[in-house]
Amino acid sequence: MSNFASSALSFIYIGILMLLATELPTMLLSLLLLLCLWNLLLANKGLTRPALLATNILAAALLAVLFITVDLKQSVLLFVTMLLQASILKLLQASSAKQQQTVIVLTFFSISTVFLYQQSLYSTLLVGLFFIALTIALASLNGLPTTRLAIRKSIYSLSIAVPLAALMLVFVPKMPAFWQLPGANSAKTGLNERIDPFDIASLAKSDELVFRAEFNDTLASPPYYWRAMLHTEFDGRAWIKAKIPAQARTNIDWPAYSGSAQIYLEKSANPWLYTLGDGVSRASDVRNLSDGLLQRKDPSASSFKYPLSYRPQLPEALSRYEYQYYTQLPQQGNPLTRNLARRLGTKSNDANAFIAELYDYYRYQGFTYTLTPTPITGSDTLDIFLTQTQRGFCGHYASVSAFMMRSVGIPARVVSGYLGGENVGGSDYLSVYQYDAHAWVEYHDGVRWQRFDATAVVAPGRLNGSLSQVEQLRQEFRANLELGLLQLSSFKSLNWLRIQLEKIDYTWTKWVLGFDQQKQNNLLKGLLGSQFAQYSMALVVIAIALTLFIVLMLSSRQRKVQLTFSAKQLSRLFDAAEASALLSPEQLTPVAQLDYLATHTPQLKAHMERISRLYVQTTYEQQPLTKKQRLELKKLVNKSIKIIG
Amino acid sequence: MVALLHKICAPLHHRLQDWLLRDKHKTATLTLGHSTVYVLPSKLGFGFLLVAGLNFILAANYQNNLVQLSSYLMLVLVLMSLIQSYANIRGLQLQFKEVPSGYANQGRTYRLSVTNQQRNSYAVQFQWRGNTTLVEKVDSTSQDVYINGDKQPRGCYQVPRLKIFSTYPFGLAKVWSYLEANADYYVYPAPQPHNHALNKQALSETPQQSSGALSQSGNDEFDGLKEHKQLADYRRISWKHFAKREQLLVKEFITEADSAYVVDFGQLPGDIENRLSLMAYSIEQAQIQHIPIAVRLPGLTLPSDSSDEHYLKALRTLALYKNRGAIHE
Repeated sequence: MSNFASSALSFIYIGILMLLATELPTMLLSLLLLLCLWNLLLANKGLTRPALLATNILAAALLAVLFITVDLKQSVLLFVTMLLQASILKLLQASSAKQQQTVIVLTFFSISTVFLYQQSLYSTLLVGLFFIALTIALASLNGLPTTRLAIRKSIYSLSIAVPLAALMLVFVPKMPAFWQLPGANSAKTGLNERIDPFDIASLAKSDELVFRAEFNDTLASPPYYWRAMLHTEFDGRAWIKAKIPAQARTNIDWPAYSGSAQIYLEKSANPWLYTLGDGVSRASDVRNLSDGLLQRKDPSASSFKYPLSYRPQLPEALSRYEYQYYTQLPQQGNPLTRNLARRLGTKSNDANAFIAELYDYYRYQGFTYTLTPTPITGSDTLDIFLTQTQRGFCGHYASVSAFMMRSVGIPARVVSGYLGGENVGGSDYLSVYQYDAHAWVEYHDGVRWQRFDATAVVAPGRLNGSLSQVEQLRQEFRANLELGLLQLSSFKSLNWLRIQLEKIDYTWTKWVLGFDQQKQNNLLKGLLGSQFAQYSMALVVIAIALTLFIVLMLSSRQRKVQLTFSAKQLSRLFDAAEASALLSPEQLTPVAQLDYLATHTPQLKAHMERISRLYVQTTYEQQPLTKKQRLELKKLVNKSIKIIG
Repeated sequence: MVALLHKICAPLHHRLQDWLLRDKHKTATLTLGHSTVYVLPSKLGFGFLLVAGLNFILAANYQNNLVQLSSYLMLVLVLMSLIQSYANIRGLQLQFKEVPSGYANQGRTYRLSVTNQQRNSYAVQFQWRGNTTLVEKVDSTSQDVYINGDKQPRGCYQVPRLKIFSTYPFGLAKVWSYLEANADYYVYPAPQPHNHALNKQALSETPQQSSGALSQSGNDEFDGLKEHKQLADYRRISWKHFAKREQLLVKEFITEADSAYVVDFGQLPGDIENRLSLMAYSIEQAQIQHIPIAVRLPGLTLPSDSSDEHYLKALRTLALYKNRGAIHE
């Protein structure tokens, strides 16, 4: 039994490690996998387990590898790895059932940490299998006579427990997040100082939280353009962040900043901070820059909080130098783009008219928004995008637009940051995720910096809320959050399968992963009506109590005694005889009872002898009654009952 | 400090337990049902709940529905375990058989029979005096269960409470009950083999005189051993010494009625426990060979007899002799 549990645990940990393979350093991953395999060997070959000293040395060595290979700033990964390491070592040591039970209980925590990194339907199904295996292992360590019984009991219990747990998930009011704990992932995707979208085939998106914004008075109205960085120089291919840092701002007119919010930044080592429009902060470790952006003075990788005051960008005249700087382009390259810009420019007199032309161009020339653009390599990437592929995400549109504006002499710059944010549960805060990363253009119309975002016409829904909430892009967005079966889409049946799986996964994401406080509130109000929504907790308690009661009732059913045909007939006969007080008062065997009836009630004698013969034949001689004999027995019993009656 | 706390708490705990249990379990037969079964999460179950709590915190912090689901699932699993472990043990019928008396150098064994006419009970454990026996399956056919207890000093004991428990199916919940049969058992002194002679004495003699040496009482009441059936170990007695004495006289004076082999406390060496062990050995040997013996302890003489009841009574007498806490709880 304990071998079964130990092997199952080895497989589970191998599975967990595979699910976390992309997060863990390769060396540590392979070492831990080796330990799992070793344990598998120990469990099945019955070899002696390593001594405590050896395990301790191993633990120390692994810890050293851990601290060398894992970035100490990634505190969650560090914690998860240490947990896995400790559990696997404990498993290696565990020889008694009791120790293995402890490892199993620990493993229920380990499998949850997988969900910090992987939440797809497939990973969830896999973790679900682990869950089943763990309960079977628990049962098998608990003195159950057969593994089959352990499996049956586990499946039975889980088949009742899972719906109840789902019910709790839906109806138990959700708790708000505790802000203090660090985020799970280190920045994987997100902002970059260099915007060069053209060679990207598929924009890998991360659902990691970047920051939360808590508004002091009322929630600002969307769209939320969170400015982070300005990309002011085009090098022929990419838009780059200005090499000369912006000046620190002096003389801030604080009362003019009407909006205010608290920004809770997740762990990040980046210097840039986020603001709506023109922003300033009173925090001492924040640098207020002249271009209305904010920077962290000491960008260490820890979570961070700052007060933000913001307002729309004000009119601002450009100096001669600035005008030149913001219209500067390389001499060569992308001739088609330049031509197109010039053609659009001839139709319009001023900057704003040009912008309108440009919007129309994108709108009517068949441009689409996608996270899986056709990769463009070589030179003149903008030309190819404009004239051939015409599919791209924000980076494509921002790059091309800013280039076109500059080529007709409109000062322009690319801004990167985040667009949107999820408003959770009607609260006063927004959550902004890595997949909300966005790039757009700011152009100077002669009076002030204006925003230009081609996404607004190509994918209008993108402006409202978070990317994850835009229905139109949802499927595509999901496909980019994980591997998917896209590579195999050329096979028709596989493609069909992929689409079906994606549909399922879409539903999964929308209804399970995305089930947040707001959705819960709406659902509860829809189901229970707004005045009863607050009693959902009581509903859950009642439902669980009821289910458990039914389980108890069902399990209290007594073992059924299956009477054979002849036994049923006999019991009928004896019941009748007992009613007429003809039955022997002593406890006799059926045959002896028949004898007794035959001797004490002479008119029954012939019947009793025949009944006795048939009963003996079926019960003791293992010869089943024929159809005829069954009929005969029944008739005999009926006749006898008549005589008795 | 801890010891002091324990000293205060232990009797309270006992009293509380007695009050809770009342007399429901003071019976030799018991069918487990809702009034006689107690259910709580086991230690492992509490650990499991702790992990469920950690998962809950993790889930709340990362707004992670899947971790939340697993935390709820764990909670429900514990609740299910409570129900199932109770349902499993329900209807279990216990029948106390015996705790056979025996010698102090062996442990006692508790014997009971179990059956469940209503359903199968799995993984039922029986704990008695610190030892546990696991029965994997109890069904409608009655089966005997033996639980070995450790060695105990000689005496008469009331059968200690038997604990019946099960953590079926996952080890997360524990159901338990007790069986307190009203029965006694004896622990006889451990028999210690020896070569000391078993003498024939007049039973009418007062015990004080019998404690003297052989030579002192070597008069007309006394006889050599050679004419009698003797235990094998006592053959090395000094025949010559006895032969020189008035052998025939003895034969004439002693009648079968008032003389017998006496297992005499006073004639054995060592301290009380040692002497009792030597006596226990003699009685054991006598019983094996059906030799009638009398047993003499200071202030107490059992007349010669060779019935099994007599040997039993003799051993019990030894078990209780000068035993301050003769009957232990």
